[in-house]
Amino acid sequence: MDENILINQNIKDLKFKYNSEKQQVVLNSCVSLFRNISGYKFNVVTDKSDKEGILNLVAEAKSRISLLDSFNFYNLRDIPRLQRQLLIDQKVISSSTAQKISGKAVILNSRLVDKNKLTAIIVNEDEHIKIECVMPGRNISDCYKEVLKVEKRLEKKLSFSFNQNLGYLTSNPSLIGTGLKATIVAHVPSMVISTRIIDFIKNLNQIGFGVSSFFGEGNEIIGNLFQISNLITLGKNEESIIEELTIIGKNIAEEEEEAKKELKSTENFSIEDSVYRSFGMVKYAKILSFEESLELLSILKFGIDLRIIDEVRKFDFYELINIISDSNIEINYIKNKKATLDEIDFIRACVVREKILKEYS
Amino acid sequence: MICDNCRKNEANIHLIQLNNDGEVKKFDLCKECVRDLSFLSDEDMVGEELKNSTNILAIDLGFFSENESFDLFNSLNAGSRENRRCQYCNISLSAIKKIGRVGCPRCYEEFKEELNPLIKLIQTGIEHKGKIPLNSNKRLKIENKIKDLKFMLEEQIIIENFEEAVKLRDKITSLQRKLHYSGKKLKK
Repeated sequence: MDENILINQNIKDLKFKYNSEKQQVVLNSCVSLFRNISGYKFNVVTDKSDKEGILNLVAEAKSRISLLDSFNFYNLRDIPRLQRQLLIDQKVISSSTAQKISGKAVILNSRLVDKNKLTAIIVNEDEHIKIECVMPGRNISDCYKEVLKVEKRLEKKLSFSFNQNLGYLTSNPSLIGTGLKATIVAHVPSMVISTRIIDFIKNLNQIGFGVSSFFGEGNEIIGNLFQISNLITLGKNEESIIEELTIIGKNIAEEEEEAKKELKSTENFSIEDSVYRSFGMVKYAKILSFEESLELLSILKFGIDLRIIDEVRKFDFYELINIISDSNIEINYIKNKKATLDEIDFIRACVVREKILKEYS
Repeated sequence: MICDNCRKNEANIHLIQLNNDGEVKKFDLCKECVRDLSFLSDEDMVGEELKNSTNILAIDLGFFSENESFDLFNSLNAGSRENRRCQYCNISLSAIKKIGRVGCPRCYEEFKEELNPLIKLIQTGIEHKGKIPLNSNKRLKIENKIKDLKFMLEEQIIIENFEEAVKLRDKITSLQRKLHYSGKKLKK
């Protein structure tokens, strides 16, 4: 298959409308619905032919749903390496999914980002079906509406595993019931510096929400980016989960603002120092890894918001995160040849400089 | 239990990790260490093992919780039934314990005794309150609606909003009548 098949069709469309004026705290919102097709075992134990059967059922259902006309069905093994990486970087599929690709598929809008949202159906990941919608900013309820719309259509063609007491059944007991996972990503440097985030997380845990890092494995937090999602899927209905997370999004934005104000009012050389050190790194570094870039950009964004630094342009953090991912650099700047890691890091350093330093405008 | 990291404090947070090859690891940490590990991102403090994990159970999202309920192992008390298998998908209880997943919808019936207590711990109760499939029968829908209304009724009574409570009670009675009627029709 032509290595560029998805690139030509989609990459130009992989752009959210970003807002560079607002001070952003919640960078994006995402809702996923997990479903399993009744009559089949879960993917923990399904064999190749089961998976094929599920794939065929979903493909058949998709073809009969007019809402999904503009969507394409891709077997994961037919998607070239770079595009797969792009899907991972966009968090459409997980990196563990991409390690074993046989029997898995994604259904994507032919324009990846349509009306400022990315909608996808992933088949045969941990559960048979995952319907997912990602939008930039605080848009959790719109994301839910979108996945619900797709799920309703699918439900007319497919029968999902359901139990009156336990709701929608999933192989993972922490998803049963609504099968709904709603997530927001928040950038909260001020809350981290002031350690307010610790109490915030504790309170979230008490009401059934969990916090993890957006990038980085396990408990490693990169770029002050946190992911907040519901832990409870059974015993609460969809609307209250969505409503609660919407309120949390509002609260965390307010808390971050308050923490920022507090930091602004106190003179603190170490904060100023770290902002200017980051500036120096961005200005002079020849190679930047993705993780390091996130750390630097996070601090610089914070520095701009606090008006500590003037040499850096206002920028949209989420947009930049997407632009400087490995796969995006390779696709947009290198083109048609396999790049070495150093090459990618070198280009990344250039891109970051050009995007945010005033002297380049 | 002593914290795996500092080996001093009492560990009250338990992290369960699932590696790619299905290997399960458990870490017992104290609150202080959890905080340090998470917010200082001091590489030396974070054990290699913690960093290498690729596939972390969704349950791990409760990492910061002080609640011990996320300790999947202790709560899945299998005892002598470890080797019992699900009649439909043939997965054993010990395998479920190991990977934190069940094999098929029927596992939830088959291992009810073991799974329900666990579900109660990680969820709020074991009663679905969300939407139900479009194609499920009408009776089920009415039954669920009644359940919801009863819940709302209790709430209204607590806040002493009796006007609203009366309305809800009437709705419930009319739905119960409907249910009774459809039940009779089915019997005929």
